[in-house]
Amino acid sequence: MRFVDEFRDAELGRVVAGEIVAAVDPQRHYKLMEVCGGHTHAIYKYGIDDLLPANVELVHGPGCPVCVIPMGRVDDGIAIAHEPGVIFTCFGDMLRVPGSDGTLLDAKAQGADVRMVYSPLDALRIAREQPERQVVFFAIGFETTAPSTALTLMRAKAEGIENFSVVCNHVTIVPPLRALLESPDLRLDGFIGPGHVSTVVGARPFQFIPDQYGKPVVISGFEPLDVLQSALMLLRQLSEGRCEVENQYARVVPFDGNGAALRVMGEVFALRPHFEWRGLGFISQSGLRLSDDFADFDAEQRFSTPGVRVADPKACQCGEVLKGVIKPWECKVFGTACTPERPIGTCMVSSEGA
Amino acid sequence: MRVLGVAGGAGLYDCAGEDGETTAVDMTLVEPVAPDERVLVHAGVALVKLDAEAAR
Repeated sequence: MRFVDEFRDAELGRVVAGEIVAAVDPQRHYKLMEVCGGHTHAIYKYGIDDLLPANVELVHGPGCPVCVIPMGRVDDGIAIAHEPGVIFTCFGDMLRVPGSDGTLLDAKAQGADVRMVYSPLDALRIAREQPERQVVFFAIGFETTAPSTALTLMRAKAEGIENFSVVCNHVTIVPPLRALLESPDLRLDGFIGPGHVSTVVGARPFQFIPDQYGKPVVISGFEPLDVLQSALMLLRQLSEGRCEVENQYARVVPFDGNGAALRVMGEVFALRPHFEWRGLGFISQSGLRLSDDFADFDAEQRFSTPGVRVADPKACQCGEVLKGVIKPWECKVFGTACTPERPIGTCMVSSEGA
Repeated sequence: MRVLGVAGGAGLYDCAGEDGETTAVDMTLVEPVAPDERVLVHAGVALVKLDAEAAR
């Protein structure tokens, strides 16, 4: 497979792993955080942890878009799904994210018309085909996914489709990183930067991390060689006393991102003053709402929602997992009360959720 | 995914995944595109054209 197989070469992987051993100071412990669910998935899928020396630790930050959705927002979605005549659409992972009284899958079992889609464009197609129904898309995701929602809404507006609306839960990557870096219990040496978010925003928005917080960043791809090479690039920066934003994923990530994507996002979305993140609390200017020009498509204005903040279950430690304070399996309920079949926290739901 | 050709205008193109399945993809953000070019697709939208030279 072009652009993929080359980055799964086991022999090259062993070579890079050897270079990592040579690059590290055996007396020092290194803690590198990735902030993209795709990296978390790749690290466990390919056993990348096992290829690294014992003193190089990978921890997982708040990069899984499903994992950061708070319970109150799920409750809002479920309330809309139960409205008469509504077809409620969302990505597959969202179906199993627990709200305070069940999941969207439970709502479907109770009779709500909840459907999984791969793209908001699929939801718009349903709206086009069934003009007598209200079709709602529960939008989640970082800057990688937000352009898709934006383009879908621009199509809906251009075509005059009035039975389509969006619950906008899109978030942006920089504010949670800044919040993490301000956290007093943070102990990190560098960041493996989010490759797919960077296709949209580029490398420039991460420059504040070395400039203001003295931590290096390497934007990384998602194949095993990508992640290994990114770890090596970070460790070399640390051993050479450099602190920069580097782009390992140059075959995909332009330094300036995708200007057209940023423009459509700017047209369709506006920043919320604050947005709640699962386990992290409210973070200023970290969430997107629909702009005034697209307010007619805002499901939160079209339907009545509880809009209530719901505290995470006491036993749930997703917040500490998302901040890299503990590993997923160090959570008190991991694999016991919280399982993929009956998740308590969001991290257990998604394959990107550690 | 690999670009196959226009799929009905308005920025939509047919693209083939590695499994051979054909899907309509919104190319608005990466146009112009040509058949056989490779694009990274997320949630039905192409975000970037892949650069074979940079991959080396």
